[in-house]
Amino acid sequence: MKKGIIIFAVFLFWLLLVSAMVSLPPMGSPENPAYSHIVPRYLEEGVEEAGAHNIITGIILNYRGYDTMGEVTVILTALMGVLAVLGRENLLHHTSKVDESTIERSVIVKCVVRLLVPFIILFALYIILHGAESPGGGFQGGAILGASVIALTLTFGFSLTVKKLPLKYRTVFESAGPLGFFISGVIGLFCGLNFLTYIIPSVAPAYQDLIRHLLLLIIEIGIGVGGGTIIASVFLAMEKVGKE
Amino acid sequence: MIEFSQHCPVLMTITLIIGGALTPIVSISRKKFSFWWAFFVSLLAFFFCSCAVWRLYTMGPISYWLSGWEPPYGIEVYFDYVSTITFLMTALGILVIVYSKRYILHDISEEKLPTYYTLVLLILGGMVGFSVTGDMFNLYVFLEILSLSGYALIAITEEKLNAMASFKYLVMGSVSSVSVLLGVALLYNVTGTLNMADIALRLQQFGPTTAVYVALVLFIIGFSVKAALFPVHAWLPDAHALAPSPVSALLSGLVIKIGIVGMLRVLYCVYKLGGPVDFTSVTNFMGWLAAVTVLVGAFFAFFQDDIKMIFAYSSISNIGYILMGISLVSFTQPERGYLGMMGGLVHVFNHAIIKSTLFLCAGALIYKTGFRKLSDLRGIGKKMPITCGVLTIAALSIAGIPPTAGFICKWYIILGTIEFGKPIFAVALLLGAMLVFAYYIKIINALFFREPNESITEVDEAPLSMLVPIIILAIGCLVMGIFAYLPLAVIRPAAATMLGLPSTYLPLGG
Repeated sequence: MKKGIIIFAVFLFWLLLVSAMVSLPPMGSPENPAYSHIVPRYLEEGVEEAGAHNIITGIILNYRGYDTMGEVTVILTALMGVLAVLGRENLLHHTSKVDESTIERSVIVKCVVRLLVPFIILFALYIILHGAESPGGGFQGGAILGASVIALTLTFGFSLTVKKLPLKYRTVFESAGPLGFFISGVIGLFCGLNFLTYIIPSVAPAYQDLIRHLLLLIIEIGIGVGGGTIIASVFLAMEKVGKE
Repeated sequence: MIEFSQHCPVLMTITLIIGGALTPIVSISRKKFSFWWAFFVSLLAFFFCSCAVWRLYTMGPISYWLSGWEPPYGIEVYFDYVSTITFLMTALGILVIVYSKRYILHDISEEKLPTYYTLVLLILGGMVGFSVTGDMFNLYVFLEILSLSGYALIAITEEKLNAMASFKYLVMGSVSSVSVLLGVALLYNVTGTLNMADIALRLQQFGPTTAVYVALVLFIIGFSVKAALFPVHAWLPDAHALAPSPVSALLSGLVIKIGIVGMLRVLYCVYKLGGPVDFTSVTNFMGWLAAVTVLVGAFFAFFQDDIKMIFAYSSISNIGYILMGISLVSFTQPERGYLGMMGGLVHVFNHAIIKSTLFLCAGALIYKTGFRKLSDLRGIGKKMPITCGVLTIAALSIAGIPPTAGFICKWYIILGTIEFGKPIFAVALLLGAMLVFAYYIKIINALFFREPNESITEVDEAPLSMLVPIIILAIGCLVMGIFAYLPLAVIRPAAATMLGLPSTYLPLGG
């Protein structure tokens, strides 16, 4: 009975959405307002105005930078939620499932991870720094950075990661995302412009482009480092088990 | 000053969000310092908010272009008369943070203090950002910030029941967030823009399609869950009653109002009365649901023994009043909805003040005695006279006894229903008000007039950091009632602009 009602409700919802989909303007048609209203300006003038060769980066960091600041904050909020429920790890009271496992870790896995992790981190940094020019950016690079920490923890155990990435550094890095936006955004505010305007009016026009690049880079690094550390911290909080 | 005040709507949002992000950093070595930091940040946000409100009432709404891009291309922050609710949010934020100083150590360990204050600042930042934005996707982003921090704040005590309540809220809240996001996506597909004013303009041009109607339904579903309207209210009682008391005050006082603000934005700023879509059939249906919500909330509250559970159910009932007020609109004659809209908007403010007072008082009782059931708390009034006195004032306010805050808004809403030609709603509202009165009498009776419980003879008055916020709030309850023309004067332009009338509109004889 209960299941039947649920299936019926889901079916109704599905019907609602399908009826909406049918009436939408056709995908890919040039008359579609989604392509013809504001997007042309992004495509035509985005590189020039927003200061990033990768137009996606220009949109998410410049045209809609405030949204991205909110999204970075959502990620931070998610970490705070995990910490609120599970709490921070503490080597005095916690160990991990990896450390407690009785299965011997294979030499091959250890060697491969040890060899690969520096390259993974290098690749992550490349993606973070190159976000303004080519596909990539802070979010993607941060995810790879976090994955490298997870790979290390899974092969070499919990205590190594916690010692190499001590809590006081992680606490600072976790907030790097919103802080990067704040640092870059507030400069415009002090020059009398609106928040998140990446311009310093008193500098010669020839250097404006450089400044904008630098400020966008601060944001990218903030997002990348922040995202990576948050993934690592969430993983460590979930991996810990209490010592008997 | 003028140039500075223009930045204020954005400044208060980023102050709260960046302040929240900095909280763990500034309290690395001393966890207790996080309180002072949060207090300072909330004061700063309150200052910025006051500047913005001052500018609003001297120079009209503020439109702020983030990164300097003109509206359809960039994000616009629009501080209008409805955004005055941020004044309440930042003010209540300060009081809740002051109250938390002593109270929260009763519920969580010192380790978690920075996490707690971070989440409080983020939830405030999310609500403020949500209320001032003029962009649909930005609305969704801030909705996510405040919802996520809400789930976390309920579960922060590590009790099993809290985790369950939080999970229930998480599941329903996620469905509502997704449906809001789908609504935004549909509107973007139809109009090609995310700016609210621009969407309204372009909807007028293109005329309604099925997708526009479906988007409206999705928004209503999404915001109804956040506001706990009748069929989707099931998450509220557990979540609000089990959370730590200052968090309950925030959730019940402010977070459920986010659903109301969202509906106001979507219905009256995007779809608009007299616009391309006649949504009055939807709002009429919402009116019926609101009437049921009033009765259901009041009815279930009557059978609770847990003092916070009573307040949580009473929140559902009051959300019904507010929704009733804002949904009594007529598509062609906007003036007819004026009284109800006024009452609904004033009740948003008054209920926030009253319900936070109630939850904070309940928190003080629980902090001192460790009991949360009325039957265990009997006779506590003689031991904690100030707390119980304040609780009585708030209880009378919420029941709508004339010299207090609850009267004027309920009066306006009931007048609105009659003006609108729906006396059946007035009957439902009066019935609800009577039930409310009955169960608050029950509380007052238990606190003051029943034989004292032997195990609470050693109890004394709550500490000063908890008394000061509740006394300030109690004064708020009385001021909003005795000088009722103050809130009415402040809200009047908001109600008028929501209905598409000029902001100086006055009804005949008013």
